[in-house]
Amino acid sequence: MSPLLRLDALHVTLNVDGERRPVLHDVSLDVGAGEAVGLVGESGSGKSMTVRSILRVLPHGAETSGRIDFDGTDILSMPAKDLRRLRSHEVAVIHQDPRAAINPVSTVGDFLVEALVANHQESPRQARARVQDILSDVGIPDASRRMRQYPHELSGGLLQRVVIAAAIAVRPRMILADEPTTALDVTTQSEVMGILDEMRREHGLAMLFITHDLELAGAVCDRIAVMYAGSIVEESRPQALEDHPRHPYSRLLLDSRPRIDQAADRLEVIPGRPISAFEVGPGCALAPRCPYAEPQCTATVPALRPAGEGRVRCLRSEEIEPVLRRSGTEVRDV
Amino acid sequence: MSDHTPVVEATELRKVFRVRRPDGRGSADFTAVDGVGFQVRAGGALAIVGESGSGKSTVARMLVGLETPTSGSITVLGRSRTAKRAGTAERRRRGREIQMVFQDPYGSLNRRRSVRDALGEVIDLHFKPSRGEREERIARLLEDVGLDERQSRALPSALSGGQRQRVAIARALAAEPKVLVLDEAVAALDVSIQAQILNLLADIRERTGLTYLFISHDLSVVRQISEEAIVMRKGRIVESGPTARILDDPQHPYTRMLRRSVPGPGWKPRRMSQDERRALAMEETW
Repeated sequence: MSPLLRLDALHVTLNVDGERRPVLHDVSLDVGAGEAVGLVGESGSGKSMTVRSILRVLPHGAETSGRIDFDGTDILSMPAKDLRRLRSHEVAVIHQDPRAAINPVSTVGDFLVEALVANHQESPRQARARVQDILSDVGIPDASRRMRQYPHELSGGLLQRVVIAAAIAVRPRMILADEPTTALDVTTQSEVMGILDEMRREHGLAMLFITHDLELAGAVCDRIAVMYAGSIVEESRPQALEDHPRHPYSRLLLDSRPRIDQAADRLEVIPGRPISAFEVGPGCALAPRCPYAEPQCTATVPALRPAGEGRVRCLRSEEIEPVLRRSGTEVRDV
Repeated sequence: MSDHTPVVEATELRKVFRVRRPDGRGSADFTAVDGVGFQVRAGGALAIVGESGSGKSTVARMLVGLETPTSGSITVLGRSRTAKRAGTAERRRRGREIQMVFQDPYGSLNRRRSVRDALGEVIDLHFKPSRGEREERIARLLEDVGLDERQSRALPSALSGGQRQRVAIARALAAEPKVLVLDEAVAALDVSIQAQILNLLADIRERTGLTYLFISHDLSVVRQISEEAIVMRKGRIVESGPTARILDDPQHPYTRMLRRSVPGPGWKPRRMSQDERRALAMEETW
């Protein structure tokens, strides 16, 4: 069976002052029906551009090649009518900032009902009743009162629940969640993430979960793809990624985050900063920062190839495997 | 000064803001900080932990003099900061005692001033150096925070987020303070850059014996940078003590919930039960 979403050798370039700049390089990724896949990386790694490619909301002047298949149909060549249907019925989006996603001058109830009446031929009465039920499912107990309120009267955590409810209400097959809890306090994050996870499982939805937080992705995803400079560098199951990273960058991401259960004398770091896809030289994107780089790494662009149960984009992955298994961080207190 | 004399001491700090009422009819008092007290010894690092609305940033702002406490006292290096209104000379002297680094390095740097000029300005203000001495100080600061000659001539817009935060730290250090207040100073940085800055802060403290007050919502970062911590919620301290103890064996229900909310190996997000919610009386903040 083909996956629900398949990105196949996706390349995206943007037009910056008349110059073509790559932002995504050879991104291939499958998301099966009902499966949750995490897309993890630092700023500029291409996570959000991937989401925008799927929805075809790339900046003006963007050029794409490769394929994005949703249920076997290529999104990139889809006519406008089908694209509208995809966005309104099949794929729901949850962004980082709920205030930007909700119309500030209509009530929460009108916002939720509008999409159902306009796109799903539901009667206002029917839509209202259904929305009210979903609101209680996402942990908003006094739903009828909340529906009469305006967005500015609700906290960020509550508003993000409203956005989750809006996503569930259209009965999509897939959720694109782009840093959905990054703007929230930690305790609220845990709660909202719990709700999103529960709703997704209950309704059997697929999810592409974009985050910079490897541990958060690991907690709610079946598989994780790590991105660096516009490419996927490793794809793996969360536990395998944690115990047995196969790409130096995954190891770096794991080590550079301070741990809650112990302090290190110094954190493991590599010099430099994460680069964007257009800054990549010949060879591997990480090579200039990679402690394991050899001359061959700056000469050949590594392919994303099968490794274990997942995939990795590193020429030396097998050679350096034992080193990558070990965390480099020294322990100060236990 | 002996190791045991507190460099910073806050007693019964209270800050009340006059805010417009939500219904637009007149104003009401909002207590942002209520009865907060702590001490930091020389060379120590105290973390002030809390979520939005906890009052942690208001405490930071009172320490450096950006806000005036409604009541309570702040003592830095044995001198009271709350006695009377300070003149220019006094404020400059205070600037050599305590400096602050903010979350957004872009917003806190003059975007028309090169790194070198930004540092030079602070040095001139505090030390009236000779030309050679000034250059020497700038070079030393750049080296301390890991910026090179080329970067020192750049405007903030030409630098990355991590480099800008290095500039902000260098500028704070330029006044040679004894205390650095860092308000969510690594929160906006990517993890690999965050690690670099945390290591840099550890290096600086080890070398200079600087005292840190580290304001953060991030418990893992707090563990890495501080030995002591206070946990704030709605303007009050709910728990205080050694950072390792607070995180390994939290006593207050709020601290426990905070600790449980942090993703890690084996962690799953969870919805709070009604009982937990009631125990924390969270409803009003919704």
